[in-house]
Amino acid sequence: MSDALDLPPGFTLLRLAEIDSTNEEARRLGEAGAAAYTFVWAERQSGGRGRRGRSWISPVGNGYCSLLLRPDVAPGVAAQVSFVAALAVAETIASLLPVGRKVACKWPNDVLVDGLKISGILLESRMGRQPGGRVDWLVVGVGINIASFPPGTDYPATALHEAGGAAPVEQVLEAYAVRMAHWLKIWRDDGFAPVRQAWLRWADGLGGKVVVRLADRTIEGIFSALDDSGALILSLPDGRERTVTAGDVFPAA
Amino acid sequence: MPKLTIDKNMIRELAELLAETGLNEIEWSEGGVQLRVARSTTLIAPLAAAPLPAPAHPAAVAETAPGHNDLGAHPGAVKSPMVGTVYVAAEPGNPPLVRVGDRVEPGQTLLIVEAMKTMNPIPAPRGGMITQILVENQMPVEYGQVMMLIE
Repeated sequence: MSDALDLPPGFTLLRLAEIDSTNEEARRLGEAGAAAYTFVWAERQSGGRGRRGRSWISPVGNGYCSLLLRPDVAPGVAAQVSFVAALAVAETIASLLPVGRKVACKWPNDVLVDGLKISGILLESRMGRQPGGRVDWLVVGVGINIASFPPGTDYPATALHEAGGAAPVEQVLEAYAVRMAHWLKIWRDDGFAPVRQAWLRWADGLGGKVVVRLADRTIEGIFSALDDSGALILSLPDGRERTVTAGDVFPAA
Repeated sequence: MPKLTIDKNMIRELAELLAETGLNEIEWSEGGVQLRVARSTTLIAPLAAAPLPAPAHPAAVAETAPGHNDLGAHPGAVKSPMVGTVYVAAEPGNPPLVRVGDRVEPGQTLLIVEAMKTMNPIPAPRGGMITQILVENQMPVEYGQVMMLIE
């Protein structure tokens, strides 16, 4: 088992050799009253999860971690942390790759290297029972391909070592935690605007043609803007605009 | 036919502006499309059907139809806490979390609303029986939209 991680002040590490899913563990901890900034790290996951029931192949050698947060905000605001995490991962990956590699953020929070997916992020929150209430906890789950990546994925993938980086898991997660603490503070102090601005500088496909796979159909248009809540604004061929809050974005063929 | 295109976002923004500014009415026009969003006691009072605005502004009327407020005032209304996409099952292919006629406990997960890859399980605000489900799987939902009724 690896050495402990050197995490930013205020973070508490829970290090596991194996777990079903770090998000599940963080969710259980959230329900059990664990403190904010509990950082769950597993060397491998037996039931790693992506969005909407997809699995996340999780062998030893890649990074799997979930950060438990307790922001005192409404769920719609908590969802902004999606972009906070994407920024933290993008900066981490960029700092660990040779010059010349193009790192980008695919809406809302995948991180790409030269157009290939290196990281996936999934957040889960739990709100109190009061209508209009605040979230009780928010879990930010991050998977980063470091030593390996799965073949044949929906969106073609890569890994840090494949792309020319050499950092081991510990170094990647430590760098991520530092960037996450940095951007969370900015988000908490100054709101979503600076996060949104920074994310836009990493944005993949902004102003270009994209295909968005919604739950029940696929639509195509121009990724024309990111609205103030973080939703993707798609300009449709007929001139109308559509606000997308959930879906998978692909470059148009 | 731009006049028939309902710009929900614009209406929502105008409505929010109304609330923020305390104004009673905002009118906005662009490219031959005119939108008026007004608030009045007839809107707030449940069941005060109808006589709101003029035929020239069907969009605004539709968006603020009294029926919506009616359900919103229901003590067992389950409202969306955010703009997003709603799912009736925990995962695609799974059975719905609840169905009409089910008895639920307070805090039991009824639906999931996703926005920006953040999953938000929606807890029952109270115990009781599910009497109406007003959303379909995978449809977009708005902030405050009533998704279910518990009696």
